Amino acid sequence: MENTLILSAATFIYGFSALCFITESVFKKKIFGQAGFFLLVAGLSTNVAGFILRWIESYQMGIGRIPLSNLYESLVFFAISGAFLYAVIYKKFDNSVVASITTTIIFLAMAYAGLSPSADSAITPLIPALRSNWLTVHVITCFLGYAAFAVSFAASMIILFTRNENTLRNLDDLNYKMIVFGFLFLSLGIITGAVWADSAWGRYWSWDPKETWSLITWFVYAIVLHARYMKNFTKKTIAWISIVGFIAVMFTYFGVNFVLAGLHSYA
Amino acid sequence: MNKNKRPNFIEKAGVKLWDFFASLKLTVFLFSVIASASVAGTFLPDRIGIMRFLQGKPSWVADFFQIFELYDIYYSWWFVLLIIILGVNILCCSFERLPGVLKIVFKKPLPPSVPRIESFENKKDFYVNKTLNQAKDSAEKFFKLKKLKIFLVNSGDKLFFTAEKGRNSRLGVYVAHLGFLLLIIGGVAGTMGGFSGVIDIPENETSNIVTLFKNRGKIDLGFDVTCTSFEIKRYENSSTPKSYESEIIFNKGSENEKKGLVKVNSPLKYNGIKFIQSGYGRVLEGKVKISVYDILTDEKKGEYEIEQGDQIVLPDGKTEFTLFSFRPNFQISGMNLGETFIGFILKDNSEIPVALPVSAPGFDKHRKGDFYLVPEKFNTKYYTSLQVNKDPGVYIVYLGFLLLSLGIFVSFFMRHSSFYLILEPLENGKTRILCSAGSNKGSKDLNDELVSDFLEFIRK
Repeated sequence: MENTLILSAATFIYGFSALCFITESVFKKKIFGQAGFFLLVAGLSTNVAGFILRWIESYQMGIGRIPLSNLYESLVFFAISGAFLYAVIYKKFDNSVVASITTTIIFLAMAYAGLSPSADSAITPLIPALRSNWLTVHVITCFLGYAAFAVSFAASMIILFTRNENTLRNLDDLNYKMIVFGFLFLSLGIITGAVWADSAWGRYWSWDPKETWSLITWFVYAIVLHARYMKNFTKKTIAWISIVGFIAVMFTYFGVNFVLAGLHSYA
Repeated sequence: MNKNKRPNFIEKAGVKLWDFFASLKLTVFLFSVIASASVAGTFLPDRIGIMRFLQGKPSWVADFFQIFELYDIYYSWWFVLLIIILGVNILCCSFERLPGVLKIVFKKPLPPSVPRIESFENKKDFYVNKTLNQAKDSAEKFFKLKKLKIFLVNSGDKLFFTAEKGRNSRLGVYVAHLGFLLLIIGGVAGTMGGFSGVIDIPENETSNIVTLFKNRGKIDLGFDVTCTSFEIKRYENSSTPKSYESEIIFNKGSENEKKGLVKVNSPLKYNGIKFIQSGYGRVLEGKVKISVYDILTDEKKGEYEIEQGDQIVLPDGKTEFTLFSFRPNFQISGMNLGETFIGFILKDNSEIPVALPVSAPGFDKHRKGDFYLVPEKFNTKYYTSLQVNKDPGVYIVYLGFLLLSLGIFVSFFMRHSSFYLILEPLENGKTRILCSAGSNKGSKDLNDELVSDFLEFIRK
């Protein structure tokens, strides 16, 4: 299957992109940042090409479905969302450390997809429960949200360590914007999931571990959004909460599948 | 003296109580507690696991679990109470702040004053080579181009403009909060006034009894549900299932009959109750032929055609066999025997369980009785397993979903932005322009951009 080859190529390009950004943040040479951005866009293009090819191949196999239905495919789409989102905001929030962390997360997601035995890259037919138009919109909204939270995580990590007031203000702004964006999409993801669950399982909410953890994540980021209106929450405290939020995202995404049993075991 | 003090005390307590419920601190606190309880809930074992855990523990531990309903955290009284308090909190917060916002939203904007304009960092003060009327036309054109609503006041010989958009976006946050409140109301209404269970119906049979998920209780639907056929659709040239479909007839007296197809991802509704395809299996259709052989000689001693639940007397005239059930996939000590008939033998007042797998005719020899039984001819048919739900709160919840997403979008991605402008005619036919732009939130850059766009436009 050619799509997996192209997607592995994208993994390597992302890896080099991360390497360039890391080099930029260590040696403070702008040229590495430019190379990193170029590679990020190249990786994104390759990633999208692999995604589309996988879609086409599924039709050639007579299965015919958008590749958004298991752990492997969700990781690939997560990388697309993350790379796209970061490429869009890169000009405005040019920070080499944030770029390093974000591209590293994207690279790790792709590498995990390619290497982990639990992320099967074979194109298989959809199980009956996933045959629904809600699948596409549910997965896309969720992963756009996750991608924004990944960038906010990167920004928060640096907010904790930086002493520069300017950087702090700039990154706090980025952190807030990403959380607002992620929160909207997480909300839409949970809502589309609930509407879908209503039609597939007959109940919009059944406190399944995946559902519950997405709600926990939602609450953590809701705290961030409300904390901005409270005096005793500093930028660093908010960064801490947003890091907790990203841990909740990770647990919703992976932890639930590997630690807890539930209805939502495909990804 | 007491009479004078008492209302005062109540008033004070009332204010304190209101402040408590209208505080953002309470919101953040409740978010944290509900999130933590939810985390605990995902790690606690289910009811059976907890019962196992409680075995041999001191009774106060069991009492603790009982009182706080830890086997079912999400429906426990304290969890529901926390959520209701959160609802009250949101309601109070909104009532506290909404009147002020409504005043802004429904009042016409005031004409800008010089100090107001000068309070913005992006303020500009300059002259253009245009008459007052030319400058006015030009400004109005610009506002139309930017889709800003114009409020114009004449005062003396000066013109005071406030041009703005997105005034209503200030209400977004209340729309989101109302949406969230509806989720709580709808959720609680659904838990109180609805039910959720399962109904199993073999093909060409009828049932009206639902087994509830909660406490395995049974309820009567008040109408008949008949399954006329069940089908597994598969992908072309593949054994992978594509869909499960049940043909169903609902019947509540002949004039209220409804026919339809229940498919995965496509439920049916009847009488306000929703039916969802959730599983299937096979059951025995009609009778099964069971042959009885002598264990020593392997000689056939008898042949019986029986239905599920029937009892027969074996050739020795005293041993009884009862056919209990048919299992399409019978598991015994980790081994799957496939299609198997289950029953028991009653001999000398002792009951012996019997398993008769179709694929292994000699299996019953292991029982070491006088005879062994072999199932021979039989037919099976599907039964469909439908989840049955009634949730009177679901429409409130859907409205809540709509308002919540709309409200979040409006409150975070739209803003109320205003452009302030004063035009003052000068003696030499020129016009003095004083302007600035502001908004209730969002980045400063957008306001600055509006001001510089205006400069470029009016100087043309």
